[in-house]
Amino acid sequence: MRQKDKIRAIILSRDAYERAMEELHKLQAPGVYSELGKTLGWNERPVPPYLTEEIMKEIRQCREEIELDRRVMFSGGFLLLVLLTLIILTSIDVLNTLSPVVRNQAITGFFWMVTSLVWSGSVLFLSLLRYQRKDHNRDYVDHPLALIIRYLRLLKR
Amino acid sequence: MTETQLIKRAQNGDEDAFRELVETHQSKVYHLLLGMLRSPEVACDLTQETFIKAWKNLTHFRLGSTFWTWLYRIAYRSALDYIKLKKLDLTYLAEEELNLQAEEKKAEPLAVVLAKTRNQELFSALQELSFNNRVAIVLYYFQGLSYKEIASVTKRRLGSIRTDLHRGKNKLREILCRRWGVPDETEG
Repeated sequence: MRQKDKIRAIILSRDAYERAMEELHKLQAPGVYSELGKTLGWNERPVPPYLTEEIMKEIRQCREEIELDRRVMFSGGFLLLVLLTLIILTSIDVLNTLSPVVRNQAITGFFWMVTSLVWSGSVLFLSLLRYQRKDHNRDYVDHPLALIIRYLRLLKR
Repeated sequence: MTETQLIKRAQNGDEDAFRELVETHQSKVYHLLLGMLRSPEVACDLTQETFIKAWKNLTHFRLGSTFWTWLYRIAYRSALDYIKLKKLDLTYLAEEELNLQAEEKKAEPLAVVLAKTRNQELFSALQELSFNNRVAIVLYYFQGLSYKEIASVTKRRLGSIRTDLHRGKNKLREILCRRWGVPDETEG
């Protein structure tokens, strides 16, 4: 029977169609292309030959980026720590020259600045964490930047 | 070397082990995406994206569960994200298919016959279904997955999957009957 006739015979009656579909479910599996599947159009199509190489190239690039990210994070963190130490030391020096009333005001201002920074950082971190959980309980995660972009899009809606 | 051993090695950063995993599973992932999105170019791009995401998150993979199910889950989410991002609808996908057929028609007479035959195939009729119905049909009938496996891939409830499958199957027959000019028993 030609392919066209086979398909026609399948769709002509509801019973034949139901039977063919159940048969199809039994015969097919990931990477398996049964005769019935082929008749219905599920043929093995050639995967582009460059695909594996492209994937591996991207992975190598990705590894290099991660390595670079690590270095940047480490250097940035170290620089930030040095700057913070310098600021604290300078502040102590400056604070010592101030009158007790102004010094108290400066300490209060400094305290609230640090508190608000810690608070906003925690809120951002927790909301990202919450969104990530909400996002269909994925067992894989995207890059933090991609998560931030998705989170902003969610807020916009 | 078994797949578990390959995964363990890849988790420790072995690129060659991961390449073997890519070579084993890329065709499955590519065909799944092709079935869901009906565009070879997009399927190719998303296959690449799926494996890159898999590489980045390989440490999250729990040994003992099936590797291809995990890959299918990533591929499904990538397809869903792509559709959301591009704000694609069925019209767009159908237009892509029509453009492809029009190009074939211009090319040579044999292609006209092939395109016409393809248009009457069940697989080709999938493009007229909604994304959820199409995914259920592709995973259940063309990939032979069980309800449980589909639920694990799509993270949807079994009831919703059954409904999508039932609706998709009926709609698919309606489409084919219309394309073939066969009277549908269920009508009238």
